[in-house]
Amino acid sequence: MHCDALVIGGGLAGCATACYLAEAGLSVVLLERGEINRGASGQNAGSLHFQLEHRLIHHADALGEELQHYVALTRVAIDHWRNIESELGSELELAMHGGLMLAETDDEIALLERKAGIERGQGLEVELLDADETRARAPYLSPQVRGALYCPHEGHCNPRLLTPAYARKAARLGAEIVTHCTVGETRRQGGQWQVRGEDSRGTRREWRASVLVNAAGAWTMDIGRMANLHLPVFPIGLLMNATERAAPFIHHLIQHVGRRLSMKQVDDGNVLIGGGWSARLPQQLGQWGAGRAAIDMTALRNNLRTALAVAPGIEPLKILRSWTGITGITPDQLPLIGAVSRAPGYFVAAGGSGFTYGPTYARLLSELITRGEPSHSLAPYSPDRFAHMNMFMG
Amino acid sequence: MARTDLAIVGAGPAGMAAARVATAHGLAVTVIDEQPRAGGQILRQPPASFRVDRWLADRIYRPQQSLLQQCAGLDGVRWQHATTVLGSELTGDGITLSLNTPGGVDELRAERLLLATGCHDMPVTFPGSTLPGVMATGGIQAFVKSQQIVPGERFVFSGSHPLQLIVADQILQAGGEVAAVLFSQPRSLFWRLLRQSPVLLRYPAKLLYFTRACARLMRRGVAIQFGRVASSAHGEGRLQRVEIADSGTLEARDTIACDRLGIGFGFLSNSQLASQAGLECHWSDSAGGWLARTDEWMRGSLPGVYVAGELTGIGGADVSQREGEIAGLAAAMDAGVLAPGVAAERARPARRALRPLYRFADVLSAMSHPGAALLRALMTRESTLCKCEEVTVGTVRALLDENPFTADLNALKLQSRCGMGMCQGRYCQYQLRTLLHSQRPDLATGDDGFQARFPVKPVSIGALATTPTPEEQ
Repeated sequence: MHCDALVIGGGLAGCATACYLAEAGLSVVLLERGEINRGASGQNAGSLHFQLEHRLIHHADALGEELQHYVALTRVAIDHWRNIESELGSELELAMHGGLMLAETDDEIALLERKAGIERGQGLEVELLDADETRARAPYLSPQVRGALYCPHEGHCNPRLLTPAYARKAARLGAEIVTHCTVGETRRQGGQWQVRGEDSRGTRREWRASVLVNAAGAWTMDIGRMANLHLPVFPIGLLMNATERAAPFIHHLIQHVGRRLSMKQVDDGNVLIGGGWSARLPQQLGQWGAGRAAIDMTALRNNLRTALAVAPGIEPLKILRSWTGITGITPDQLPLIGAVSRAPGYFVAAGGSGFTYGPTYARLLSELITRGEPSHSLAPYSPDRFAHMNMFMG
Repeated sequence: MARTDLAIVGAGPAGMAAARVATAHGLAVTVIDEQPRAGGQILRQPPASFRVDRWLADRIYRPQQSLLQQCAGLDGVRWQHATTVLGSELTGDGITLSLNTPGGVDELRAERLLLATGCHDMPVTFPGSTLPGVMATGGIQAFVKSQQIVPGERFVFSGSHPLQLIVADQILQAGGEVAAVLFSQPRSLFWRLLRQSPVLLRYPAKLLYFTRACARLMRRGVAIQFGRVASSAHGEGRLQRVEIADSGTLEARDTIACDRLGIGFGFLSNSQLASQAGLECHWSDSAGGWLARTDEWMRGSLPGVYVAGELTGIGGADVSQREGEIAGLAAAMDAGVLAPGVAAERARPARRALRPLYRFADVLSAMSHPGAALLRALMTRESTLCKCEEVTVGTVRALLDENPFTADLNALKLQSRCGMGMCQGRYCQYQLRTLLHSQRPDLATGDDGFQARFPVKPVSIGALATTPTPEEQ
């Protein structure tokens, strides 16, 4: 079978890219080895965090220009989110009521000030709040909180709904979505990509496409290997927790500049608590195995303790479930988005705040594919920054 | 952190039997159960401060009662009652259980783990199934057994499991009124099975028990109807009447006034802890939903984890007790305190008893299952499928229509919220699965069930956060 573009991966990056490519008039096939949205895209906690994350601020000096580009891209993403429900024609439980990045120490306040400087310089609206101003907006916060950086655009969206909405729209626009199909081979032949897959019943299928998009998330490296490419995306396991429903009391996305914390209350009333606490990846014979990451009980306790320290009122709330997801991270923590020069027609969309920026990454990537130039530069994210890793790959 | 050689989850017949055998061979055993006293659902004990005359006097309860007495005198067993296991974590050299005890969240380190978590009544979705007054028949029985409390005045029982007769009889004896007992199957099915399954005749005590219950019900004028089902429940804020229909066509036949409706379509295993631990399970429509796979020594698919009782397939107290004995022997053998040859010898009586018991259980399961067609037909669009998250059957059907690529239970859970609430799907998974398979007839079986997550039962942030980490102990 022939198509213009073949997308590997049924997560947010894959479904959104398939959707935008189909919208641009390309014939698109999307292959997913399991079900749509069953990986990190559906398992993350749905934060829309536009302020620089603490892991990025801590490396601000090293990241320099990339950081400024990141903030500029954020403005593009904010506009995108504001319109996404009408764009997709679906209710997504989107809430953009603002977010607070908390500080508890002098050092953390200083960090917030520095961060605010970088962000304002690039035109991202942020507002420094002192302790009283912070508690006036969020009375449930502990007196230990000494200040916060407020960004009015932050919030959350329901990750259970976003990717299926893209998949539905892609299908409406003519994209073929093939689930339970494991890709076993991608080969460059006669100026096209030849892709072989096998479904759960063992039936083999084959496609030819001018464009191949690797959107395999934490497994981008495995798919890349089939094209003789090193695409450095490494799996990491993360932990999240959901409480029982409660009357609305947290109206913002809560993050912490010095500690791992993200906390929000969703439409249904559940409080979601996470923030980058790790879960143990499954291992088999020295390889990362399939299956879910295991909960590390110490990380779980510390995650909850962090949340309790800034919001003591959550103590009686019951945890309904703690869950883990596997996402991908690159060596420089920036996403990997764009063309791979040494492999014509090969594109990647993986890594780096994939929920908040996923829709925007996908749109820009589809512009790069269909017009040769995206409306906002993707240069800092180009997979070619790791071209040296493929120098000796023949 | 407390340590034990063998942690047993569940103080029912399987757990008690395993505890007795394992301590007899020198293992230090800890039995954990949510109830305040041992015995499991079969021997729902009255609270210690109560005295109930002729408590479960019938002779069919005797084997388990004698086991309960033996267990009361055991030395090497620590009984940890009123405690919920929130989850288990398998590491290279043992198993850590997270426990919600009356004194807070605590951890227990076990060399081996036996899951003997039993079963619960199979919930059924139909119009009005969430109305106060509609109860699980097993739940009604728990009130009667433990406290001789009749939780209502006028009862209707609707289902497909013979237990209905026993509970209706117990309600009558405890002073309640029974308006009707409805079986969805035709009467002929029971006679055909009796004739074709001589294994039933090997258990005259059980047959006699049922026959006596039937006779008493008939003497008191209770209508036992076959081929009938309660198709909807009605009332202002609470149950006031049920509509009775032909179970084949769901054509309404009658309306009965009542304030309690017992639903008795059989049982589902309590498989959440097995799923959370990562044990391999397989699906059975009629023998309890998700069931853990075991070898002939009741070893589950993970090292050091054993499974016995209803979690291997609904089979009743006698099967559970015998499987518990084998699991206890296996734990002792695997711990190196019992020679394999001796273990095999000691397991022989249990294995001999189990053969006909398994046949009996198979016949009972096959006979008692209402069939997917009836369950599907009862699920009208407006019926509530997931009580916790208030999701209707219609919502799920619409989602399946709109998302043609959604074809597994966990993906459907994510999209519909079914199973994401307090009970983690204990009460909707079977129904959701039935619905999924009816709308995706070409679905490959062998799909995964809901992935049970830590904590298997809800627990407060405060309790979890204050548990000391291993480094702090």
